[in-house]
Amino acid sequence: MDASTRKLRLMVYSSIMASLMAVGAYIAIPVGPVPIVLQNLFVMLAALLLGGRWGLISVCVYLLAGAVGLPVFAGGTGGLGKFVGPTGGYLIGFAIAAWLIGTISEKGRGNIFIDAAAMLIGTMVIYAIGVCWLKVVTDMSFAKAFSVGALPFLLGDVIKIVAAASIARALRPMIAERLMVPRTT
Amino acid sequence: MAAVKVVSYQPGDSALHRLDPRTKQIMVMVLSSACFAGGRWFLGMLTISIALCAIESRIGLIRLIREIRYFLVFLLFVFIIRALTFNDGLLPVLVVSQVQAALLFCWRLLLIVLMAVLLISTTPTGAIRAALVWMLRPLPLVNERAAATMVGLIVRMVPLILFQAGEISDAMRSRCIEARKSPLFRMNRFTIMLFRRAIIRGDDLVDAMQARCYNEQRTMRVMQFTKLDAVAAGIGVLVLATLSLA
Repeated sequence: MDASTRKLRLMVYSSIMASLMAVGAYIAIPVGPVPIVLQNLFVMLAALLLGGRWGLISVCVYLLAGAVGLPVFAGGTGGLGKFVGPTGGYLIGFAIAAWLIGTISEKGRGNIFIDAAAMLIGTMVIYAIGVCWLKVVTDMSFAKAFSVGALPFLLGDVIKIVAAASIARALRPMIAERLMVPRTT
Repeated sequence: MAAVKVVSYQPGDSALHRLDPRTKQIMVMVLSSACFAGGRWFLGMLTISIALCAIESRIGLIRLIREIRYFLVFLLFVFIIRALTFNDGLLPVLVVSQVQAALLFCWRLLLIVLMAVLLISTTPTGAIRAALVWMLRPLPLVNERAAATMVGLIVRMVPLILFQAGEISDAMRSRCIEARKSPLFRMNRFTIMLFRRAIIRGDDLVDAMQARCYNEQRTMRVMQFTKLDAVAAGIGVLVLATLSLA
């Protein structure tokens, strides 16, 4: 496969991952100012399947689509206002987390425990940025922001990490075959 | 596929169709951001403007509302969650101020979605792409053509993936997978199927793009601001001016 075909394939896959993030954002359970969504499961999967660089590109394109007003964020919303709203920190956190998860996972060469550790770190980064931003925007105390913006979702996130590790293991061979990447463990 | 008909481009010759895509995109960006800060006057003016646009573009308000009916169910759920409070007991209590706040929140979400649906249904994907290239050009370190192509692909792919998700959900139900107690099992099965089908669709897309000799240096759509854009911008500014009203 020549370099241009590989780049085009990665570009299309990144767009598809970004579309899946948008679809994941529609499946939302609203609790307080921050809804529970499948979006972060799909962000983690994009990073695990495409690696750090293209995982980051995929999230950035998703954020760009939302910024220009397309209804891709949680609950079918969009617009620049979301970035300065209570959930803006989580959106920025997604980009950094995708890069971190993808980069660590690439170094782990498909080891399921390293993948899980990478997702744990990524999730911590999302909450660190998201909760701090929520605290600033809503003027809550840190404890209150944490109890509203992180605590209710932690159990769901553990389930998502376990699910993402096994889903990535099932899908990696399919992606590797298409991108002519050497098979990992 | 009928369920995703409006949330894709509908050809037409209305004023909204003829507007420059840059004007439409900038207005959606600005107005949807202003929605979060806007009060009743602003939201009321915006609602009237959207209704007039829907009628003028021949999409029709009722059809527009019908096509986002699944979102309306979600909105009802958001309203119930936000309007109800649980005091000391387990019985839910309705507080007038909270109901008003919930209504306002849902109104904002509805307007943002309607604006986006109007943008997508009156603007060809190629025009959205060209407008994005124009907007991203001043940004350093951004390949504006690739980024705009990718956003254009999202516009095309989201309705298709939503349709596929519905099909997978139906197939899982018919095989009683949804009756399985483990949420992990159900999530795994659903996600693996969804990703597999999306990747296969991506492969078809790559083949189609290569068959048409795709490269980033394609000829861009010619865009030109007209008097119509000035009128639209003027209406937008008038709607924004109501932000200062309580």
